[in-house]
Amino acid sequence: MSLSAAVETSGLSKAYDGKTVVDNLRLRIAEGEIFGLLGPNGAGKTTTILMLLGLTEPTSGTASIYGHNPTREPLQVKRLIGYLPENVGFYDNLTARENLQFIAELNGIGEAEADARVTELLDAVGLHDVNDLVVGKYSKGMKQRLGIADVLIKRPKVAILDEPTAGLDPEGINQVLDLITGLPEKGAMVILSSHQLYQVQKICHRVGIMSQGKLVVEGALDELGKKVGGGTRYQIEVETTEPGIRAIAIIKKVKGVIRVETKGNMLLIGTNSDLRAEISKAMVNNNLPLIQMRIQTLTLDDIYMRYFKEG
Amino acid sequence: MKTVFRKEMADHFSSIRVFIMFLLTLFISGLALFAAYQGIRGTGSGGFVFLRLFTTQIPDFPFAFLLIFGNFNALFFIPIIGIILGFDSINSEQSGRTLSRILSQPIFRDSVINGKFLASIATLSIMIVISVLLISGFGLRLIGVPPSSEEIIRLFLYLVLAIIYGGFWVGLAMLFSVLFRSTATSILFSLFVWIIFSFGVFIVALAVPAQTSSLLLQFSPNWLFALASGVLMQPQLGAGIVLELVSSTIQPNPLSLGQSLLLVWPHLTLLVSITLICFAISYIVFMKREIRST
Amino acid sequence: MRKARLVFLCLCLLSLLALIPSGLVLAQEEEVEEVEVEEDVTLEATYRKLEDSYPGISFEYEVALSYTGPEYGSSREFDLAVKAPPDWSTYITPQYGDQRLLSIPLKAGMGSSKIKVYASPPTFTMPEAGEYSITLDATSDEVSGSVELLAVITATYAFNLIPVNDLYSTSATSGKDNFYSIVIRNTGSDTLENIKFSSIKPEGWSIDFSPEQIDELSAGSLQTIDVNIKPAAKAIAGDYQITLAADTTRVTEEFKVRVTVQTPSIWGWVGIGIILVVIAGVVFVFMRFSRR
Repeated sequence: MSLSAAVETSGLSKAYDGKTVVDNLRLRIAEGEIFGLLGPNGAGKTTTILMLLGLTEPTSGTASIYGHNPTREPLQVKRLIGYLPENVGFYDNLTARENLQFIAELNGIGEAEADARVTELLDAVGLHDVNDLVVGKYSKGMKQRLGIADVLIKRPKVAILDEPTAGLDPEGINQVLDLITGLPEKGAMVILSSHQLYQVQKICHRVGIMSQGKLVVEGALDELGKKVGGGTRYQIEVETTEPGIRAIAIIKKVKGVIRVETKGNMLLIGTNSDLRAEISKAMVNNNLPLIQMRIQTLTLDDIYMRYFKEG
Repeated sequence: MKTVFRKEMADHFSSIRVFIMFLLTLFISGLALFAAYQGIRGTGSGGFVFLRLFTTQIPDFPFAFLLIFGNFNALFFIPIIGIILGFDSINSEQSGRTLSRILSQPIFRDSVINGKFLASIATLSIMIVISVLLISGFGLRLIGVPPSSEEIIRLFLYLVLAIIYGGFWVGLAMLFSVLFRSTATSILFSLFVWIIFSFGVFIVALAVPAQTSSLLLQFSPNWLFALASGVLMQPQLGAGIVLELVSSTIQPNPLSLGQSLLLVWPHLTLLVSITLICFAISYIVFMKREIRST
Repeated sequence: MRKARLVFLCLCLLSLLALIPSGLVLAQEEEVEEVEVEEDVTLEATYRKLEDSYPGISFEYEVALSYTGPEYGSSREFDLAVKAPPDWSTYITPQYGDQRLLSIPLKAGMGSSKIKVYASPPTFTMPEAGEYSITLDATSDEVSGSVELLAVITATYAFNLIPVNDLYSTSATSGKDNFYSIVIRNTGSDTLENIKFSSIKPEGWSIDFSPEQIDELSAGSLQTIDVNIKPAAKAIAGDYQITLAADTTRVTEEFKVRVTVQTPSIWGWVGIGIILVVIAGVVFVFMRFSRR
């Protein structure tokens, strides 16, 4: 087993009552990676996660976490994975510290060691001041941060986070994202399931988009941009009073321009590098009135939206 | 499982609910002692004096049976304690969204349900033992007659019986807590079954022919417990309570311990089996259940 | 004519009726005159032999006195005296009334006067059973009369059985000896023989008397008996009732005693020990398992 594929699935499928939820999924996630699992509600993200954890048995296919099969060796797998469920819940009658200590105990961590880790993690997630408050009195954001601590207490090699930023305020989101970004340094790879495309884009090395149980696209963000944006990395939008065949022809002659489309007064130009200077020069040279010009990197949003527009 | 057990014990012993039930236990013990004090003083030395602490009613006292520990209060309150200890054990974890987090830890899934079941039984056992010991202690001071070894054995068997009986109700409440997502539903169902077994079965049994009714009653844990505890605690009543002997004019001799055991054995096994069936169903349902995060 | 005849008949009948009493009186007078009368007084008891048994008895005799004398209707005063066994107390009263009489006037030939003679045997130094004679004398100079009355005293057999100091309740420790004292007193008039003691007691108890039996208890004397009450070893604390009895062949006496059974304090302490252990156990369990 190569180190580059810490988490791997092949042909992973799950059907509930004949309805396929996860369909022949093939995933490879390398060690040290932050992988974003995207997709609309009901795409099968959570089911996939549960199968990785061994909490749900796949109908067919296999998953492998560092070489362990979650169905057959659930304990080894669970020892490796830290899982933050969507809308994580804690025992409301226990304090943050007690909640974490319980999880540490379940993981067989000694008392002294657990105490040290709990203190350290509560510091890290900024809950130190409220560690003796019962969780029932925590705000949503505090619980979410406690959830991160909860995942990290066992020092997992794989952290699976399901919507870790749901319901957080912007500051909280940033804190959580910072925490996640730091995880690979601590030896954990991260699988992040989220709808917050902007956040995924910000921290993920690679993303996979699921739709109706299938992984429709997968790859590093710039690769994806190319794939989705018709093979170009940038899109330059030019507003002109004379869009038309002549304009298209002129711009297509600029070296590096891959495609040109018109949309009202706009010319949408696909390129692989920043060609704004060249394009404006060509337009001026050819007497094309240039009203304004804007360059856009393809965001994950675009990729995502484009994907589902097509799908 | 040990961790889950410990955590559940901590939960029980930190909760107001269990604290109130402890008060209830003390209250019931007090009632029983009051009854014993009123009914037992100066009544001689015959038979199983010590056991009478648990079975004596106050003569000429309205609703005197309400105060007897051995065959009334235990019969009615052990189920309630069992239900309260079990009805939300699983579904509260689900509604609190803690279940998937716990199950993603490196423990076997059955550790959760086993640990919870055992913790509830342990709590229940502690309550019953405390109650019996308190009555014994105060009773010893009251009547001043030490229990004979046979009485101690009978009392111990009674404890075991009561714990198994409580176990049935914990198992039942737990089954409902696995089956129903809402704690309100599970407690309603538990109480419904409790009412059926406490009252309904007897009303039906009165209505149907004797043959059918005795068969019917075999499935009521309350009935089984009442019979078995009667044989264990009031051997002077003889085999009549179980075997429905016709010759009621003859005062039966107290049953020997061996005979009592022999007589109680089928009830005990039936009680154990329905308890296990109850728990097994919840176990299987829980193990097969898909754990979603919600 | 006819009318005159009827009136005549009526007058004849009336005169006849008038004649009858005077005729009787005349006859009496003739008798008195005929008999040579000696002066005499006679005493006659209605019932002269009475029986009673001890104690607190008083014999009551009714005696009729009549005086005959030479002169009809003459009155004579008679002194009355009772001769009784030593230490008896006696007195005389009229038939109706409670004056104590020492003499009585009697009128010759005027019928009898009734008096009552009371005689009581002494309360202490009881007279033995038997026949006692009491003589009533009526004397006036040379004229005297007497009657012998008989008082028959039969023996009584009776005794009192009471607890010492009138304590009808006691306490006892189960399985232990507990002493209690009772007193028997012969209140009869004769010696009691072979007094045996017995008891009615709950199952498993033992009650011993010391002495177990009294061979002789003379009249009026008393004796203390120690009773050892030993409740059953497994007797439940509380109140029990026992009956203590003494009987001779003639009489039986019994009384009930309330026995408050206390149990050996060791079991009380064991009970307290259990309670303490339970409390400690509860505290331990809560400390051990509870978080806060």
